[in-house]
Amino acid sequence: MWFHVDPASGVPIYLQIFNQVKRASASGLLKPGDQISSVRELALELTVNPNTIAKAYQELEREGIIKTVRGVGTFIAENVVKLVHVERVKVLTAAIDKVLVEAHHLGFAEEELKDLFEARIKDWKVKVR
Amino acid sequence: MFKDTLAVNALDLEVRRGSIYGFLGLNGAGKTTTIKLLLNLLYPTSGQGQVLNYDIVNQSIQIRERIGYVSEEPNIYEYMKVSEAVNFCRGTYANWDMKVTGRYLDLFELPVGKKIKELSKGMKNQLALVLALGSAPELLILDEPTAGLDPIKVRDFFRIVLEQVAQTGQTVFFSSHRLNEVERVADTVGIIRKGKMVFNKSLDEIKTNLKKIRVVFNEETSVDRLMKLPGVTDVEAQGRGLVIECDGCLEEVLTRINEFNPVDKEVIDVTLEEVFIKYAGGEGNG
Repeated sequence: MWFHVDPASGVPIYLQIFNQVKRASASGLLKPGDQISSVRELALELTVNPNTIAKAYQELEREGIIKTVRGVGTFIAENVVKLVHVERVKVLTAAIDKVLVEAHHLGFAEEELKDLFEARIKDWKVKVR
Repeated sequence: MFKDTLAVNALDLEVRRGSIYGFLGLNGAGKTTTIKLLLNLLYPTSGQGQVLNYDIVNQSIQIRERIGYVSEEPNIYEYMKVSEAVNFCRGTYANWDMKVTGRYLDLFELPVGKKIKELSKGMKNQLALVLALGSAPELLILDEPTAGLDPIKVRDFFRIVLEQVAQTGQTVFFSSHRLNEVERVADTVGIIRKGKMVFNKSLDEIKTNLKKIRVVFNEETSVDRLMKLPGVTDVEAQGRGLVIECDGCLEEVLTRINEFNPVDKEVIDVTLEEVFIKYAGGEGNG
């Protein structure tokens, strides 16, 4: 597979793998029902601790992103699309909250903040177009 | 232990079954001495230890039956051919697995017909690992196993160790100077300094909990006040800014820092290298 890890990063390796699988299923790179590498295969491929991969898979399974069928393999879960939307809202909410905290400390008024936000959206639309 | 010098003194070390433990320390800090004590190759003057629940002094035979050991300088049976060494070891263990050794000899492309003294350092290390794995050990003890190996050989070496871990769930205890390989392979890290354990944490914990916050305040802020925040372990002035080290409680510390109206703040990850320098380093470690 196309997973990669950076052992020196400040993000724990299990979380790097967790995030990559999640992102891949959110972007459609991995579709529901797709099989992913086993713990052993991925550990050897990336030369990392199998326990670390197992931890990432446990978290992914707990969040309903993957499903392990004993003796068969590990797959992207069928209801992953719905979950992924919830997850996306969660991630964006956290990002917005950070901006709000920052705005508060920089002394922005609510109206000012809204104006700035709208201005940024306009700007961004021009850029993508 | 060595005449008047204490090589290892009051060392507190516990390794969880099934984990891969990276044992770090400067040269002379006591890594090899610790390993030799565990294997009863050195006799402790005081204290006690258990390996796989067996006493390191009185039950050393039981321990040796259940572990695989690769020493720093594997000087094994120089006069034997590779195949003879394998057969020799096979004779001393009840549960020797010829399939495992055969597979790994092939994988490393070790010349079975050659005398061991003709092998390169890398090949000797690989052979030592193959021999250590042949008895299907519950615990693998590796003393700087990858010293002197090129990056590809290092990867091959760890792939085999990891494959064994994945299949059998065996515990691995290895010492190393290569922090990048420790970060990649280990789940727990211990640092020894002058014969004492000074650091012991899981790598996930290090990466999740240990953070630095570089912050600049407008007005003078007392270091003492910052030191009192939960989880803060150190505050250091750097130019006009301060670097606050914290262990856990990052969100709380950030919120509290905001109360001091910082001009700028930035969260920086702590690397294993920084941890190592902080805990293992220092004067006269010899």
